Amino acid sequence: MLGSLIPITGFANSIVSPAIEYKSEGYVMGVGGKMFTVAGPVLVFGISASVIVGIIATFFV
Amino acid sequence: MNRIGKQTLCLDKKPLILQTASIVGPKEAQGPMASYFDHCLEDEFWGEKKKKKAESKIIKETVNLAISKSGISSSSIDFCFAGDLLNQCISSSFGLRDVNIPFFGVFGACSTFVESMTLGSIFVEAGAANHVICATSSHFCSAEKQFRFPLELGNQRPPTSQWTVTGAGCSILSSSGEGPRITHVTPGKIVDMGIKDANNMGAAMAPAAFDTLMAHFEDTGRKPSDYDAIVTGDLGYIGKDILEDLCKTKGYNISHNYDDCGVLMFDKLEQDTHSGGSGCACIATIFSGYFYKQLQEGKIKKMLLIATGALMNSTSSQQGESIPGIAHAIAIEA
Repeated sequence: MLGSLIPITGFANSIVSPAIEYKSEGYVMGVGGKMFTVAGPVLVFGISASVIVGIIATFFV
Repeated sequence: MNRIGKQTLCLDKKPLILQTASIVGPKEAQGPMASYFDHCLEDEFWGEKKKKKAESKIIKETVNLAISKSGISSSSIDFCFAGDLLNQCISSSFGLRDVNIPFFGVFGACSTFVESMTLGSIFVEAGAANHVICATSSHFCSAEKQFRFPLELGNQRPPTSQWTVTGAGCSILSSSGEGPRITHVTPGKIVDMGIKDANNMGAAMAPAAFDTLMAHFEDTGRKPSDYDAIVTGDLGYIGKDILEDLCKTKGYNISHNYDDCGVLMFDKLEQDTHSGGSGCACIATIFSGYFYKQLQEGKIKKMLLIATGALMNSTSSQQGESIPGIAHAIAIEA
């Protein structure tokens, strides 16, 4: 249980904290546009890696 | 006024520092220098909802305070030199838009305070102005937002990092009146020794401070012991050690009368500020609050003030660039 909470809360923090920081620039361009500044690379490379692993697992294993 | 040596100007009329003012945030108010500042804020946002507006309010009120302490009217001030760390120096320009004084926006990163005093003193010396305001500010929250990570993220800070001072300092230079006088200015060159670690400003800026210090001593023929105090802006604990070592390589021992405002500003053990304070306001508030009083009271008769800056922006490090440093020096006599 705790093992799942820690990465989840950490990841949530990485999206919420920029959202708080950039709220002063408006909801659309500030919050919406910049809330993924910290988590963005995690999402991009994490999802890309999982797609590659999925392709390998589906067709080659 | 005439140039001596490579890059020092000797000011014959010696513009005087008529008055100063300093306002700091709550963390600085808990530090060892707290009693020297004019005003300590309980809340770093000072009632404002946005960080940049808070920084603008701090520099505006600091300038107003300096003017009211000086006894001269703002209409008799000829020019204002101001700058800060934020993009396009908006803190200064937005903060000072109502002062109604011809305005020069200046950027030297954390060297801005002495850069503005250098330019201001040249204006006064040349007869272009009778009274000049030199002001600068920084704010921990707005600097972190621009250069580093969101505050709520709670990111770990390495031991080499420094804490951006929240506050503003202002000095009014004048052609007449009573006050400590600026006798020499040594503008610095940009010095880049290839430091790429944006979390180690002290190491990036120390070579520039060394370059300017050596130029000042060689141009003026002076030595470290000629000064009661040699003070740098924000090299911090690490940069301070590096500068002392660099000076020893050229046969100059500055350890007896040298200190750094980044080291003075905070209590290292109690306040968890790692390598010390930084930001434009570090030297601006400590000079305007502490050293100015020491000069007025005659406890310091001759000092060399060197502000140090790291000329980078929020993306240059990510692009693989190193961090160029700069340092400007002014010699002041009581």
